[in-house]
Amino acid sequence: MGVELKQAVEKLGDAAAQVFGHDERVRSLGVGRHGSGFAYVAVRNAALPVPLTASLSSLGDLQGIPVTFVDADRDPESLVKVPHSGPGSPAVSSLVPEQSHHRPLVCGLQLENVDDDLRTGIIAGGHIIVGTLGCFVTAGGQKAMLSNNHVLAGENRGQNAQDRILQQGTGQFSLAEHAGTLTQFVAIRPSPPGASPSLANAIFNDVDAAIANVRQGVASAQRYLSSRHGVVAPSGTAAAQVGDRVFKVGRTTGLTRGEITQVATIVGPIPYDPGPCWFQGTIVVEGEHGTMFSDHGDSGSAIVRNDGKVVGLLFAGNGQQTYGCPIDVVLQVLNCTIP
Amino acid sequence: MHMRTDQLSATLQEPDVHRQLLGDYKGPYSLGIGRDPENPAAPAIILHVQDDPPLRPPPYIQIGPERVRVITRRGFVAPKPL
Repeated sequence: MGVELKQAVEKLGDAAAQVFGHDERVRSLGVGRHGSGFAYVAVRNAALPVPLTASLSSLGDLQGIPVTFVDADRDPESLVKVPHSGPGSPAVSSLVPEQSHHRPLVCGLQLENVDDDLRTGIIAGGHIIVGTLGCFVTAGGQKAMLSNNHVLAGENRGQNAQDRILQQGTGQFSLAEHAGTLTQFVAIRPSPPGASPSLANAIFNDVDAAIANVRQGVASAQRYLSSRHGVVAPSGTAAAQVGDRVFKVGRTTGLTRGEITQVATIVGPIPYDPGPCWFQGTIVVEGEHGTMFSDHGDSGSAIVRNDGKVVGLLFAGNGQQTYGCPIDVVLQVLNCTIP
Repeated sequence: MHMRTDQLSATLQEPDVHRQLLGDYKGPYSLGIGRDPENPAAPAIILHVQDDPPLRPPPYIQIGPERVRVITRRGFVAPKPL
């Protein structure tokens, strides 16, 4: 049996001291549902080694309040920026297969612009910036990977025809990882601080999008990993309609499903490196049954109807709502098509 | 007949519509077209705003000859690039 919410919250500080001291793998402690009441939920990184002498006996309860341990396989992190080695890095095994190295290249895989990460010095700081390969497009007769500007082109820093895109991306260039080269991106346009549509001084963006040509000799296929059983491959496009059931496959949350709850949406300001940005014409997706549809690192995922028609390109979110650019606008401004 | 989504979409870009709905509100928000849960055949304007400062947008907005329902959802968190 759980306790009253107020009681659990009031004693959370004392409980944290005991739980974090009890097991050094614990990364968070909160209050969650427990039967008809509330209790503590501790999330720990079960992938971390523990000293042989450590005693990990169950805590049972704290002052009459039950503690439930939930095991995760990595530390919590802002997943668009991940360590390039060690625990939590893409190099270690993950429950999300899209974070690993795969050939042929398929939709949903993790990507990194290694040259932008080198330019910004983020690699020297032990991290890399990663996102998701949405799907393949044809541009100028070439096959290219579609994702966001902020994934492939470093929020306007990208060097077309030069920046090397890696899959999976580990912060170190190797030919085996070299999937393609940044080809084109749509510049993100910031608004002045304090700008607002009601003041008529917000600068609207239509898309956060970029493409990278697939390197010659690298195999690719317009489908998802074969381990994603029953997920239809992206095929063609459609205009999003409110009520459409959709899914996405991304490098962080893998396969998730949701519903389009809004179209033609104006949203902002969204913080980008060049400054606060407003977007228009976006589609809004909410995860089904209250689940999270996307998280950091899922940017660039294709938002796909259950019949395989691509309707959007995922670029932002807040945990409740996920925002996507309408795919037809993306393809138009990049002058490309989805085969 | 209800206003079509594309007609409504064009009006959402008019600063005056934002001023009518948001007044002096200066926080992040999202304004789009969804469904009126009480009349699913009709499009509605969906406004997501933060809890603070308190905002009381009108429940309907007049757009030409049409009165369009405004559904306000609070607790909005500014989205981030993912």
